[in-house]
Parts: sequence; C-alpha cells; structure tokens
Amino acid sequence: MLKIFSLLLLVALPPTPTLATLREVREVHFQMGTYLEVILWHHEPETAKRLIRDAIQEAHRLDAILSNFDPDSALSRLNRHAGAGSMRVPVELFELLARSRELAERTGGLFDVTIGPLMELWQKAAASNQMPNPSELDQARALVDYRKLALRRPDAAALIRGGMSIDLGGIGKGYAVDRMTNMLKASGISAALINFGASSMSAIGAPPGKTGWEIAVQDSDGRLRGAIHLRDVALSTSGSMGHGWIINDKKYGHLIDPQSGIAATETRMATVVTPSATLAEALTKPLVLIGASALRIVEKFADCEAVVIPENGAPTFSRQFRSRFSWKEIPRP
Amino acid sequence: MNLLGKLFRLVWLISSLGTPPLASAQEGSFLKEAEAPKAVFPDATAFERRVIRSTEELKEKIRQRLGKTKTSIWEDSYITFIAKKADAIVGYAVIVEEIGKHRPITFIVGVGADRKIKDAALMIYREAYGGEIRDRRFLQQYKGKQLQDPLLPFRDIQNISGATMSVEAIGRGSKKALALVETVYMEGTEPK
Repeated sequence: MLKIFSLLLLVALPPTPTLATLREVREVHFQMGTYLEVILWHHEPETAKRLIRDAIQEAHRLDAILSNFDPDSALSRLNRHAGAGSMRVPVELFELLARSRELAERTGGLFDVTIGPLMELWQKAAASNQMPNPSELDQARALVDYRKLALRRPDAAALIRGGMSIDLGGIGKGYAVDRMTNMLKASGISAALINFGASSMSAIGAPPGKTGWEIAVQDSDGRLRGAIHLRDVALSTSGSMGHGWIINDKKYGHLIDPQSGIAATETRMATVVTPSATLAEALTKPLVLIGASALRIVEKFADCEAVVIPENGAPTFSRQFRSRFSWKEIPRP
Repeated sequence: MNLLGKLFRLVWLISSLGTPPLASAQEGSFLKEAEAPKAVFPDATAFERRVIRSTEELKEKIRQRLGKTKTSIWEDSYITFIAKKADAIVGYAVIVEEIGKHRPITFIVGVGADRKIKDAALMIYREAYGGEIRDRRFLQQYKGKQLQDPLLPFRDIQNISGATMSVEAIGRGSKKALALVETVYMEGTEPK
C-alpha cells in the first residue's frame, strides 16, 4: 500500500517550483532624485510586482523622513531645531544618525553627516561663481562636527550649535537599500538585485543558473574597467566629480572634505563591497576624498573590500577584493 | 469508495492546490499602460482612465505653472488615471514623455491628492547607452547578444555601478504631470 501511495504522490503531486518556473520581473521607479531599479526572480510575477512595489514604497516612506529637500521631513525639522535642544525623531532617523556618528568616529571624521553648512556654502559659491572666502570657510567648518550631534536612546536627537545641519545624501540611499533588502529577504526572496541610482546596490542570492549578479565597475570617464560577481552583499560606488560645481571655470566635486572644507578637485571613483549598503555608501567617501590611502580605513572593517580608480590610472584594490569577487579586468581598447 | 480510491482522491486534491502558474512569456522590463497606474498607486483599488487633449489653451496654462522649466515634448494628448481607494480619490497618474539625452523616455507620474509627486515609474527607455557601446570587449562576454543591436539600459546590461542615468528628463516630465493635474483635475479646467 505504501508503495502505491508513494507512486501516486509522484504522479499526481504538483511540480515544486523549479528554476524553469522562475521569471524575471523588473521595475524602475524614481525616488530620492534618482532611479531605483528592482529586479526579482519569482515563480509568480504578480507576487513579484507586489513585493517590488512594497519595497519602492519603503524607499518613498524613508525619503519623507530623511530628505533635506523636503521642508516637512523629520530631518528638515531637526535641522531647523539646531541649537534649540533635543527633539524626538522617528526611529529610522535615529538609527541612521547613530550609525552615521559611529562611522564618522571610525573614519576619523572623513565621513561626517554634519557636513550641511559646507554643502550650503559651496552651493552658494557655485551660484554666484565666487569661491568661498577663508572666513566663510572657517565659519562653516566650525559648524561641521559629528561630536556635536547628540543622541539619546530611544529617539532623542540634538544639534548642539545653532546653524548646524545634517545632510544624509552620502548614506541615505544605502540605508534605504538595506531596508528594502531586509523586506525582500523576509518575504522569502532568494534572487534579487536592488540598484539605487547605480551608486547603491544590493545583490540577494543569484539569478537562476548563475553564481552571482555580474556588476561592471566603471571609471570616472564612464569606461568599464572590470566586472565582479556579487552574492548576498551590497555595493556602493561614488565618484568625486558627479553633480559637481563649476566656479571660475574650475570644476569641483560634490564631495567636500569635512576637515579642510574644500570640495574635491581630484577625479577618482571608489567602490566598496560589504554586506551592508549603509556601510558601503559611507566608506566610499574617504576613498574618494583621499584616494587609495583610505583603503587602510576600509580594511579595518570586517568583511569589507574596496577598489579605487583614479583618473587615467590603474585601480588599487583592498587585499581580497579581486579574489573574493572574481574581478575580471576589461582591457583598455 | 475503497481505500485506494480515497488515497487517489486525496492526492488529486493536493495536486490541484498551490501549483505555481507557469508564465507564458518572460516579464518585460517596462510597464504596459494597463499596469502602469498600479505601479505608482499600489494601494489604489480602482483607476478611471481619461484622455486629456492637449489644446493650445492647456499648454499655455501648463507653461505658466512650469515657469522656467522647459518641457522637451508637448504631447497631443495625455493618458491620465484617477486613482481611487474605496471610492475616495487618492491621486492622479499621468503618462508623459520627455527627451532624455537623445530620445524620448515614456514614464508614468503619480501625483497625490496633496499635490505632491508620489512616485514615477519608467515605461519605455529608448536611449542608447554610451559606456557599453564603447566597451565592446566587455559585451563580447554576453553570448547571443548582437553588437549592432541598440543597447538599452535596464534591458540589456543593467548592472553597472556608477553609471548614472540622466534623470533631468524625469524631473521635467514630473513637473509637467503635476502642472497638468493641477490645471485639469484640481482646478477643473479640462479642455472641451
């Protein structure tokens, strides 16, 4: 009888989902001023679409909290409250501020979300086509200091000095990618790629039949320099010259050294790969600002690898970048 | 019914449940018109489709609202959707086109009832992509891909870190959609 039952089961049970039934579903939305692409492999396209849209909605929800462009965001309210004591903030903002402050300490202040006054100064300088004068730079620099961002659990935050302001542009997308990654994993997704403006990505599992998601790494000229394979890790790429400013015919990058107050003038691209997109995005900043010498900072973090590509130069890798991610160099034409 | 018959019936019942549907075709990377409004208003339960003719009068009103923003395309008409949830209007979706670097991008913009842009989603992206075309050696790794084919980001080789797509066109198109929604739906000056 048992044999007959087993036979019947074999004949009549529905086929379990297999690689052959997996379908790729992909949508591209626009959030946080750039595009947000989510690719999912799933047996049910309608379920996949729902999961993608839930993830997109999470990014939209976070933008409403973390944006410094939206005057109604929690971050904007905190910035307006600078110098006026502490205030309660949403848990997501608190969590990201705490992580940002920790990363500022560990990068020796090369990544610092209190960069707001310097960003504003350089934006004004570009608008008037006049370099900031030393006194303006000193004033703005005096307001940039992560140690003057006070946090008290579970949700109180304060900017100690009036005029301070936080800009989460260097970490917010990574945080959103991490949240979306967790949502998709919690829904049982085993193959997905989140691509937030090509600067923050998260690779969940691998596409069917592949060992990982193949990502091409490009340099500051837009030339593809190599390809890597990612599986269950996040990646972030930053360039010094994207969205920069031109003052007196000289180009300045949108990244500013929090200590000197000077915007980047050297062209380079940096890519960091690590399980957290939040960490990856933050760690690209020291690499872009000071170049390959910042690899020593990156290598202090567990499970974290990076590559820096200077303008017209050879890439410099952290110790295990090439071996861990199967770096395949693309020769110059 | 004997035991064997009962077992067979049980197994048949099990087999009829939970079978994943086999998709008949590969999912496309872009949205079709029918599914586009749901992409930007996932919580809406109903959509009312309305086509708005783009008259000179309407264009002028939109121009005034746009101020310094110059659109690159003036559509002959706009496909719009009124998004509803339990009979209440939650927002409006508009399909718009704008020129990217060289070619039109088609996308849908969702505008909330609070006049804020809620989301925008890509429907058609036709732009050729510089980086990949220049790096043909890289492309040769992709078996079966014809190098003379136009390469489209988000369809062919989507995974390039640091390769940012120009989103200025999306910004212009989103403002155009917002201006249209304000003019037509919020102030009720739909062209006759």
